[in-house]
Amino acid sequence: MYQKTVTIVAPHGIHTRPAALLVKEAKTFACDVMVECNGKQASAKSLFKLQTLGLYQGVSVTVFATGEQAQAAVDKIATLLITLS
Amino acid sequence: MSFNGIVVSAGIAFGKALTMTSHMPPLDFKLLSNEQISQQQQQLTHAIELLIHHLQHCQRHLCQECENFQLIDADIMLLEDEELQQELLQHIKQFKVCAAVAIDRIFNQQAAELAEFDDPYLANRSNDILCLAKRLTSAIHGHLQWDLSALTEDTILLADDLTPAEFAILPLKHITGIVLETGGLTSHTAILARAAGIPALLNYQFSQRPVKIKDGEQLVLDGMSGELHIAPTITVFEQLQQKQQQERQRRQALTAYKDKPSITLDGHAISLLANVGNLSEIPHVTDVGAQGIGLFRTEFLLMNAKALPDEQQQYKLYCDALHSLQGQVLSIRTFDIGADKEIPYLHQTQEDNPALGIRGIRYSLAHPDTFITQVKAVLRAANHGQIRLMFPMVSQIEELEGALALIEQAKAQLIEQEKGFGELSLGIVVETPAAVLNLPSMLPLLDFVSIGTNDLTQYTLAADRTNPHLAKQYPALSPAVIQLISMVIKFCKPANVKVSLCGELGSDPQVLPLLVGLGLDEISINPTNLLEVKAILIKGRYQDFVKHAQTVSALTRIDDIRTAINTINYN
Repeated sequence: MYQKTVTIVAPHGIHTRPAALLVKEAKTFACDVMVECNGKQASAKSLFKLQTLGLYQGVSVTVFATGEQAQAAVDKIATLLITLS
Repeated sequence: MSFNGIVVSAGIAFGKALTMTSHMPPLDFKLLSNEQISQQQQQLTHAIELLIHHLQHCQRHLCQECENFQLIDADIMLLEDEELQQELLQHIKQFKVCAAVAIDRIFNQQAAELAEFDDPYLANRSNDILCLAKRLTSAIHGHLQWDLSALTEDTILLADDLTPAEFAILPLKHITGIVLETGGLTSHTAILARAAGIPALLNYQFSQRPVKIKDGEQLVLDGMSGELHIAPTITVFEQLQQKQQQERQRRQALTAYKDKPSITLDGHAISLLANVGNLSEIPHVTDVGAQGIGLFRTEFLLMNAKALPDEQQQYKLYCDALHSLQGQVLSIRTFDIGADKEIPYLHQTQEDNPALGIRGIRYSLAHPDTFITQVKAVLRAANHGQIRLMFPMVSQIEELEGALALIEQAKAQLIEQEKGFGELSLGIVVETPAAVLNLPSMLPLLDFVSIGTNDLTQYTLAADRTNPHLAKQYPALSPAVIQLISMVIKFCKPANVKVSLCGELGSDPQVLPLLVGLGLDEISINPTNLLEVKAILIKGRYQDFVKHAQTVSALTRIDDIRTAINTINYN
């Protein structure tokens, strides 16, 4: 398993629009990519689940994946989490 | 059951029916058989596909970078979400319930979870989820057309209710008429419809009709008679077209008054200004030759926005308005937030009686930052033109003093920030009986007052302006309201404070002789009605108007007042 922890900086957090962009990216990877935050987990490929995590400014988020392209997927999603707003 | 609504905006509209109702058939909780379960699952999958297809269709009219496009993208993505789909299908199977119940439970649970977030912006997404749930449920019931931005043909919109915020985002290019099941003559949506010149019928219970109106059916809304014609015969259709043509010609003839001075035959001048809620309405103001804007309802700027516009954005907006007015006066009413005008991102507290709650100046004094930001923008804009600033809902001198103190603070901040600003004329909107009674003590602090007859009527007669059952028995043309208007004028004249009137009453041409006769200096009118009102002014004599006002003021019954207004004799 490969994992990475980042902190959300976007003022309004990862709200619907950036979350949708993130899901789009996640879907380009074959492996399952999970996001954990506030003690909850969701697949990065499910906007519905991702929404419930509460990805707001200042929270710490862990992205992890196993299998094919795991590292590339985690790096990509982690980068998006800190750059999207 | 009445199938004649209240006409709030006259004219004749032709268009295809489109129902936008939040009435859904009640949820059916009965347990399903295995066969029904798979049927419901298929129906759900089909509805999801249909809705996705429809949303993609809506997107075709939008540019990819715009926010709306991306928000629709997010909706599509939610609908495509496999985990969500599985959860819905599973719920139907496990609990043996229909698709609508599964949607209701799962989306509501999601919305409740989102609403818990501390971040208000994220918590607000909870509404988006509920909205999507509504659309998906409608899709199951066969209604798809929710996104009005995709409209391409003339449409008459039927809805149970429409908030001013919902009205503000309607694509008016294709909406020719509006029919609502609720609403009164002076509800804010009614005012907006009138300002936009869109024929509207309120309090019309279309959903109670024995034969339902189907989406796409040809409708003709006759705002002159208050009738809604459903799939009319060719003969009726042509008659209505002719009627519309005549109405257009009549309006065309009125343009002859545009450049005439607003002066009575015996030389008494009255300023006729216009009411607006939006920058886009300003061209109408100049088109009808108004002498400026007598009421700019700035809170409508907030309804179109995602967040509160900052000082610079507002400054630019007010400057644009001044620029379009080419030197004429701009009367800005500070944000009148509250009552039926809810702004989603401002997080107003829920109140049992919002019309009697934190609204108008009360909201501003409780949220001085919002108020100061607006005042700073207005002060800076005043450097480029003539601006009058007025405060809504002031009833007591303490509120006025509070507002004036905040203006001083705003000026101090501008000086410190080395931003230039101009002087303002200051006034209040007189719209409560207390404001009238307390006016003498406030006059020394004021340059002008503007009588807001809609709220003044509501608060004087204790009759909710949004309640359609009260509109007829509790009109603005009632002895109590007329007396209050004349009291305001009597207080203001000796103090040399200008008296304007900006309520809907001023837009009724038949009432003009009374208002002028009572001694108003200025009337602010919906641009659509301005020329009609002006025609009456120009053709009459001030001395007749004064006599008429004396007669009307002496009347004690609403019916008698109505008769006197309808039968004024111009000789």
